[in-house]
Amino acid sequence: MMATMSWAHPHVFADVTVQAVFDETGFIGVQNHWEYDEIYGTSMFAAADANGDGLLSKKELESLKEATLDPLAKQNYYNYVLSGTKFLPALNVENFQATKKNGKLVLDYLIRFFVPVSNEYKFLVIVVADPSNYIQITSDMGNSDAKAPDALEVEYYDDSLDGLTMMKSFRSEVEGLYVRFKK
Amino acid sequence: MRSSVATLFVALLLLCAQFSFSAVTKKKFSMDGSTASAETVESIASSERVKSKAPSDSVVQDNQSVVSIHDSHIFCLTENFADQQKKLRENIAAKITAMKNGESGIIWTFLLICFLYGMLHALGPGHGKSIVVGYFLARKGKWKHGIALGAGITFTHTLSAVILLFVLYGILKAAVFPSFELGRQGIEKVSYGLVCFTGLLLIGIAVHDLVKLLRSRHIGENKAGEVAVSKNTSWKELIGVAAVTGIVPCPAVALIVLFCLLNSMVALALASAGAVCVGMTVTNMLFGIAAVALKKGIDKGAAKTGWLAAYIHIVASFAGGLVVFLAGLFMLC
Repeated sequence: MMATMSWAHPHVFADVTVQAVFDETGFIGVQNHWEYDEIYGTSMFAAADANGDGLLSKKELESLKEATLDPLAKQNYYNYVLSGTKFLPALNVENFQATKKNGKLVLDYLIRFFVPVSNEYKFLVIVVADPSNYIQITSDMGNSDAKAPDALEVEYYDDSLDGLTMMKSFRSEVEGLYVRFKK
Repeated sequence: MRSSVATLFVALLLLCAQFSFSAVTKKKFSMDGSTASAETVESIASSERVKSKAPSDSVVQDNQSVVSIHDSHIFCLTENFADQQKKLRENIAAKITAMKNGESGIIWTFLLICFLYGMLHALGPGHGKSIVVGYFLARKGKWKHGIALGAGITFTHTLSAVILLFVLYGILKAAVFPSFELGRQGIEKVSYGLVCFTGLLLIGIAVHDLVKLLRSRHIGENKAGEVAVSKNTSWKELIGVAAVTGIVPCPAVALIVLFCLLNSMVALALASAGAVCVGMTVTNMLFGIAAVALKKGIDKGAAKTGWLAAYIHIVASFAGGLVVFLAGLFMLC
C-alpha cells in the first residue's frame, strides 16, 4: 500500500487536523477533522441530503458516511499510524459528525486504533495523507494535538517525515504527529 | 479583601496543580527512546486542545540523512501545481457563488480561471501525456497529428465527463456524484486495460517491422529498411488512441459542472466545462507537438547513419510501445 507512487492528480482538496486520543488503557484512536473544498463538499452534501432541506437527518448522515468514508476503508481512511515498523490497522469509525462551515463540508470522526499503555514509552507517528494524491490532503499537524487522562504521560510534536523510510511515498510537505506515551 | 486574597490563592493553587499533573505535553523528544533532546514546546492540561501553533521549526531537525524521492525539483514543481489548482478551484467556487448572486460581469474572469485550472490540471499525471509521447515515438506523425492527438484526448476526457454527469443528473438529481465516481472507476479500468493493449499493439508493430527487415536483407540493407518500416500514423489510428485514452471521464470537470447545476446554472456548467477543456487541450497539444518534434529529431539523426536508420526507427517504435504499455499498467495498478 505504501509503495504506491503519486500517479494520480488531485481532484479533491481537504484541510485536516487530528487529535491522538488516549484513555486509561492506552492509545485508542485518531480524532479526524476534515474540511473539504467547497465544490466537492457541496456535491457530497447534496448527494446525502435526500430531502434537500439543507440539514442532515440521522439516515442522511449515515448515507454521507457511506459515500465519503467507506471507499477509504481499504486505505485505512488515509490514517497512517506507524508503531515501530508496522502500520496499525484501523478498527472502526465512531462518532461521525458532519457540518457545513462557510459553505464547506466539515467531517469529524474517530478512527479507532489500539496500542496498550505500559511503564515504558511507546512511540507512534500519525500521518494523514493520500499517497495516490487523488485527494490532496493538507494536514496541519502544527494545530493537531493529543488528549489523554491524567493517569498517562503523553508527549507529542509535529515535524516533517524526513528520514522515515516507511513514509517515503508521501509528498515532501506532508507532516507527521510524533507521539510517545507511558503510564 | 481577605476573601478575595483567599480566592486568588486557591485559584493559583488549582492552576499550579493543573500544570503539575498535566498529562499531555507538546515537546520534542527522540524517537529512539532517549530523552536527551527533550525540550518542552508547550504544556497543556489534559483534555484541552492546543490553541496556538508551536514553533515547529524548533523541533527535531536532525535525522535527515535519508533523502526522499519527493525532494526532487520536478516533484516540488508538481506539488506547487497542485497547490495552485487548490487556489484556482476555491476561486472558481467563489466566482460561481458571486454570479449566482447577480455578479454576471465576472463571467470572463471566471472562464479565464477555468482555462488556467484546466492547463494546470492536465499537467498532473493521468491525462495521456506519456501516451502521446510514447505513441509518436512508435509511429511517425506530422505536426497536425501531434496537435490532433493531444486535443482529441482532452476533448474525449471532458465530453465523457459532461455526458456521464448529465445522464446521471437526469436520473439521480443532486445525489449524482457518488454514482458518477462508481461509473468513472469502472470506465477507468477498461480504459487503462485498453491503453496497455495499445502499447502491446505498438510493440507488436515494432517486432513485425524487425522481422520484415531481417527477412528483406537480401535486397540490400537500405532497400530493406524502406520495405520494413511502417508508414505514418493514420487519422483512424489517432481517433482510436484518443478514444481509448480519453474515455475516462474527468472528475475535475464533473465536479465544477455539478456545482453549477446545483446552483441551477446550466449554461455556466457547459461554459465552464468548455473553458477547462480548452485549458487542458493547450497543455496536451504542447506535449503532442513536443512528441512529434522528438520523433522527427530521432528520424533526422537516424537518416545520417545510413543502413542503421531502420534499426533505430524500430528501437524507437519498441520504446514508444513500451512507454504506452507501462503508462497503462501503472494506472491500472
